[in-house]
Amino acid sequence: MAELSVTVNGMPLPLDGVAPSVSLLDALRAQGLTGAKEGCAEGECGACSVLVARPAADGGSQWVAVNACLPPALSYAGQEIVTAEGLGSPGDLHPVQAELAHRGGSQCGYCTPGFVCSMAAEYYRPDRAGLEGTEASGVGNDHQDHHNHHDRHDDGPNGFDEHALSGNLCRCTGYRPIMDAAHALGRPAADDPFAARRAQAAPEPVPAHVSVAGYEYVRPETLAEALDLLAAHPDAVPVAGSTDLGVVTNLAMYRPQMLVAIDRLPELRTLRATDERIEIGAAVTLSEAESWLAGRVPLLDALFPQFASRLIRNAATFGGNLGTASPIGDGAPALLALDATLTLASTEGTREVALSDYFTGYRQTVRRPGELIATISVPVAQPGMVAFHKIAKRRYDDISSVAVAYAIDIEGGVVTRARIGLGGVAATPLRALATEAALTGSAWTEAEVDRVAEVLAGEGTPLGDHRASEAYRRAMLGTSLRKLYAEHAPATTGAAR
Amino acid sequence: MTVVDDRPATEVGSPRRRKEDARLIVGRTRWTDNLTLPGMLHLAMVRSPYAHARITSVDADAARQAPNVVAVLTGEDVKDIQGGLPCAWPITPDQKAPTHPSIAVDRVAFAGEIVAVVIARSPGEARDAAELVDVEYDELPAALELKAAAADQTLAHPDLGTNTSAVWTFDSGAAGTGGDVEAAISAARDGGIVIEREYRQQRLIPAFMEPRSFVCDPTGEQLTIWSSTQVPHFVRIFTAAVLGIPESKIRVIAPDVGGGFGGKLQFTPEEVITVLAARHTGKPCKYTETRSESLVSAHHGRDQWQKLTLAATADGHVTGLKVELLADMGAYLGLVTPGVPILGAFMFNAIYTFPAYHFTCRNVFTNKTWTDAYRGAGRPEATYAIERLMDELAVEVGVDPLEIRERNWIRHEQFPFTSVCGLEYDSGNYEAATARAKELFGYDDLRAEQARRRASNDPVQLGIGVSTFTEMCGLAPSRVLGSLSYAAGGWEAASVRMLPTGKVEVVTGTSPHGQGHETAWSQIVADRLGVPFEDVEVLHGDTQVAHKGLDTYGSRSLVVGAEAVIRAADKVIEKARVVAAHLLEASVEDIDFANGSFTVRGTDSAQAMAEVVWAAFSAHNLPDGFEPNLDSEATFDPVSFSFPHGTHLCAMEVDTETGQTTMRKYVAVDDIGTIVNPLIVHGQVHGGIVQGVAQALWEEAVYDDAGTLVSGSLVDYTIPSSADTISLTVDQTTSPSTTNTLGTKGVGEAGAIASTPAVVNAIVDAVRHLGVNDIRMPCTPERVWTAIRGASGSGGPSTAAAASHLGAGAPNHDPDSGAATQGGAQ
Ligand SMILES: Cc1cc2nc3c(=O)[nH]c(=O)nc-3n(C[C@H](O)[C@H](O)[C@H](O)COP(=O)(O)OP(=O)(O)OC[C@H]3O[C@@H](n4cnc5c(N)ncnc54)[C@H](O)[C@@H]3O)c2cc1C
Ligand code: FES
Ligand code: FES
Repeated sequence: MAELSVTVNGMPLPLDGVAPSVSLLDALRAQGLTGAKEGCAEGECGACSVLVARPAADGGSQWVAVNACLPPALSYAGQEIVTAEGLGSPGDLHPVQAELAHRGGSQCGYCTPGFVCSMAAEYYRPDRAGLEGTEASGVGNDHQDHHNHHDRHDDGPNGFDEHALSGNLCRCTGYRPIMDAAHALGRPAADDPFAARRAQAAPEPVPAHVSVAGYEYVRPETLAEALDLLAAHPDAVPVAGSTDLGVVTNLAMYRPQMLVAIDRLPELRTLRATDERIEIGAAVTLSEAESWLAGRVPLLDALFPQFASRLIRNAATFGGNLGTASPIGDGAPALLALDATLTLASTEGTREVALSDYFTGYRQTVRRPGELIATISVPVAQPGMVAFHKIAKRRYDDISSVAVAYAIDIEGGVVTRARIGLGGVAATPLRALATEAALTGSAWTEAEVDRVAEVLAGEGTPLGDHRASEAYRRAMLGTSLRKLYAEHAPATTGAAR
Repeated sequence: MTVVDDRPATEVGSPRRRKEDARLIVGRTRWTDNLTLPGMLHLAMVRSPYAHARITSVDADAARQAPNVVAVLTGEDVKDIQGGLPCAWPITPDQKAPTHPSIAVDRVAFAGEIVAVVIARSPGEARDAAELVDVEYDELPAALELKAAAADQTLAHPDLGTNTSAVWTFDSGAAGTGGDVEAAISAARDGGIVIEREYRQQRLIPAFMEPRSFVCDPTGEQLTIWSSTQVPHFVRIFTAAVLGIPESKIRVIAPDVGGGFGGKLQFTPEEVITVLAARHTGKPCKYTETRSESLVSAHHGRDQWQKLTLAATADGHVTGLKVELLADMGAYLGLVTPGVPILGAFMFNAIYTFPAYHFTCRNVFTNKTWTDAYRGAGRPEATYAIERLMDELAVEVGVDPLEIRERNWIRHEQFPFTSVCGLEYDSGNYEAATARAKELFGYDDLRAEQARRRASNDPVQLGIGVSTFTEMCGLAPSRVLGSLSYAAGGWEAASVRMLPTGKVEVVTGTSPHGQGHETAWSQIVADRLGVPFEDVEVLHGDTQVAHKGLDTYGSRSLVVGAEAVIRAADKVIEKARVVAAHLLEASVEDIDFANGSFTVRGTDSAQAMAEVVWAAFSAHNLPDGFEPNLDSEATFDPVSFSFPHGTHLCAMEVDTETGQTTMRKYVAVDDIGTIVNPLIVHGQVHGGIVQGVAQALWEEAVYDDAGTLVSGSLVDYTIPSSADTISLTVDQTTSPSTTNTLGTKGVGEAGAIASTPAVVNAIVDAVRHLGVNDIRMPCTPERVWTAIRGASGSGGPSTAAAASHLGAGAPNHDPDSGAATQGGAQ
């Protein structure tokens, strides 16, 4: 086996002898790159955020921020990473770092390098719209009271998308100075090396087959190879973005005998639109899907910002989301409402399964051992009215108590078709079949909606736990439909809520 | 002295960018966990999954055989050498406390308590082997719920015979500082107003971002301990006291420390165990906790029931306040655990002229993580209670909540004012801060909007919350601490060293971990000595460098610590003046010092400080008998507390259909005296407010019926993210403190103290017309919704058995995570 390494801040960092259970974060820290830190080891805090060069749509590359605590270090073999140390030095701060210093964005500093990487990814996002004329980071252009309630849009005046920081926690600053820094960022200067780097293609991860102390890590080159491995090794576990697997590896000491990396298999990275269907490869990250879809599937557009954080979405895949079959995952309700179909692949061939037939029980599905989700597809025709309601404590990056996805068509004031996906109300994600039936053919009026809301409140078998009681979950189901109506009432005149 | 043109006229008051930042922001840092020493070993703790159990056996054989395991230490192994962890604040002479072993020997008293430690060559191997330690337990009934524990239904420590640790009382009648509360209450029952309420201060977790980490190197003559602590000096003293090591053989270093908020104001079992492991193996040892260990074993905060009785005249003049607290100590008494509620005892009367006051606190043991200081320590609890009550009183009287406060507060011309607790408030101007806050807030417009929304029955209602707070900070006059039976004093030490090249080293006994002391102290000294800001280096957090100090907490660093720095700098000037007089051939009395230069009054002959420093260094030409040394030390013991105050106004929108709340506007106008660095002050105020808001809205340490911490990960202990916060409007009014040179008051805790009641008052105000007069914190959407539904008025308990059909051991986003798998055995 050739030597494996990952390029970090322009220098190769050897990965020989690194076990599959060692995270990228631990590998970096072991080499003295201690800017990225472990604040939680479960993707919540972003103290571990680093930049990775990923392929961009134009054939060049883009800087993407990811949580280093979750993926195996080995999955980054051959790739190119930049950490806060690589962006700037005390005597020569990167514009993002300078802005943070200038605004008081760092107190204890523990979270700061993570914020730096998340902010830098957004700083270099090529399609960041912004104030023209804001040249190379103008330390000093003050910006007041940007996000008060009434203009709580998520883009700053310089096009900075606040979602870029949704996966970073800071306990000291209260965020205001960090947001001020974000909103004051200008454009990268003409001679900015990281901006220039974007013109070249991103390196592809290198195929690998590593065995350390009896634990194997394999990155196959083709789907066929992957399927063969899975067929031959019943203990083998596929890993895509590792946002789920990384958590159990770190916290529950999960140590599969063999990890099979599927995140870069070309066959699982398709993005295709035919006349009938839109197809998303199972290993496409949610962020990639979001930008490729460009609003073509409005319900998914409603879902994305409510799904975890930007850092997680930069790695997480739909394949992994449906692969875990979590009853409180957010992908399934939306895809159920969209009548999604899965293509499952194994050495035996492929088969199509409607998502509504996929889940069979708590974390159980019709997927057979050795079978992978290859693609997820939804019809091209989009429902007229969509919404994704996630009831949780925090605004973003929180776990759903209840998730409701709506896809509804109304003609002449009457509901002609309704698909409603539910999460958090049963052992599996569900279609709200009774509600769909009650709604279809009903007039889209307040009285009818009130009636059907009671049906929706009775769907599933939600249980109470420390996040929400059963009564609240049920009540919120019903309220959700009423809110939908309030937002989409016919001929809305007053302030819709 | 060359003064660069764009230099501020005075450093104090200028928003200097922080010296600390460049390093921190690029990640070139010395966090304890970054340290690697030759031959270093790593520790992993085995922790009890049970809240209360007898340990029947510990079998560590398998762990000892595991790859690269060097040793396993159990309670039995160390019981004769580990000593007991200290409590520095016995609040009463008869206070009861169990001994507090670092490694439990025969009984565990909370889930998360350490029962063994594995020492291995890598952290991973240590952790894997920790799983192999087989501990058998006999489960005992656990005292969990505070009120039941107070009634001694189940004993947390059966040997103590009771769960009550101590009862502490203050009575203004008995103390002669005010009237008799009972008389005030009976008088009010007849024609006046009596408000009786019970509020809950939920249990919180400081949740600093840097998990705690400890390194101990036993290979030198001295034992060197690196600790992510707020209190390196305490760690040194207690390591000596607990383990019987001469203090002179111990050096403690607090390198970069990633936040504390009181949570690292502790001497911990993990510190003791790291030292024990290092001495046992003779090798440097490191322990870094995981986040879930941090949440379950670093001390928690708050956790009180507050029973309150407020008596007032019919027109809303308060005549007496009676406070009866139950405070949850958790399983043990930490460094200042019992004193935390007492720090609040003198603050319930807040900014008001109450004539009679009574305070009782019963400290109660439970089988949960022990509690101790958390940002504000005692004062947020007090402020919450009184500011909630003042809103209730306003409702009873039928006036605006600001009006009711004005009827009761100390008017600015009444300062200095002696409170009903006998504390002397030196300065303040509540009228000014409130007027400014109202103006910035647009108070009248928001009230008008609130009325419109009520009239139109808008599903989204608007509420306005007021919080006018004060706090005693600058801990603390040593005599006062002594009178409260606290073990240590409250002074602070500093020295100023003049280097031959004109640079200045300032050594401070405070130990910053995010507060920017290096910057602020440099500003102060630059002004004092007339040297450039850049020429001042601030050294701290290493007992070999700063041998004397009492560290950083209680908003004390600036008002106490910086005062010591100023006094040391002034001593330097006085010494230098003698040398300057000698060099200038003038008499000392005729020498003036300004802008870094000594001049002879009435002449233009001058000597720069740098020249004087050099002269003292070369010592060629000094006055007879002059010791060739300008360096100076000072120790400052404050004579009084300082009393920052402020008016915080908060507008919250409440969706009555879902219970979702949204912050609409927040204005904070604080009077923190003279401001040294506005940038740092803004940061402290913002961060503090958001922590206080988090208590109001999101955070709670929840235990299940078995005594397992359910909110044992950042998934479930929901500290706010950037999307949850809004831009706060922060401003200041200034009435300088009269108790220190610069007139500073302290700001570290102000935001966290003031904001919690402002937010809850606003939420209650939004839905009061629906019949709600309280919502228990955190005001989650469900609690707000439940309160509106009138189910219980204050939301029920938030624990319930996790979903059985959702299976166990699942990944982090399942409903049952965070419980046994993370909070229990590691
Ligand atoms: C902080 C944090 C927040 C989160 N927030 C959310 C949220 O808001 N909503 C939500 O729904 N989820 C959330 N998650 C869960 C997780 O991010 C998602 O489930 C994600 O989609 C998983 O994708 P992945 O590629 O990372 O999966 P991986 O971790 O790589 O894999 C997950 C599982 O799926 C299997 N798998 C992966 N790909 C395939 C495939 N193609 N075919 C078959 N099996 C496969 C793997 O073997 C593994 O068992 C969160 C996770 C974290 C850490
Ligand atoms: S360490 Fe917290 S997100 Fe990675
Ligand atoms: S600066 Fe301390 S956690 Fe962000």
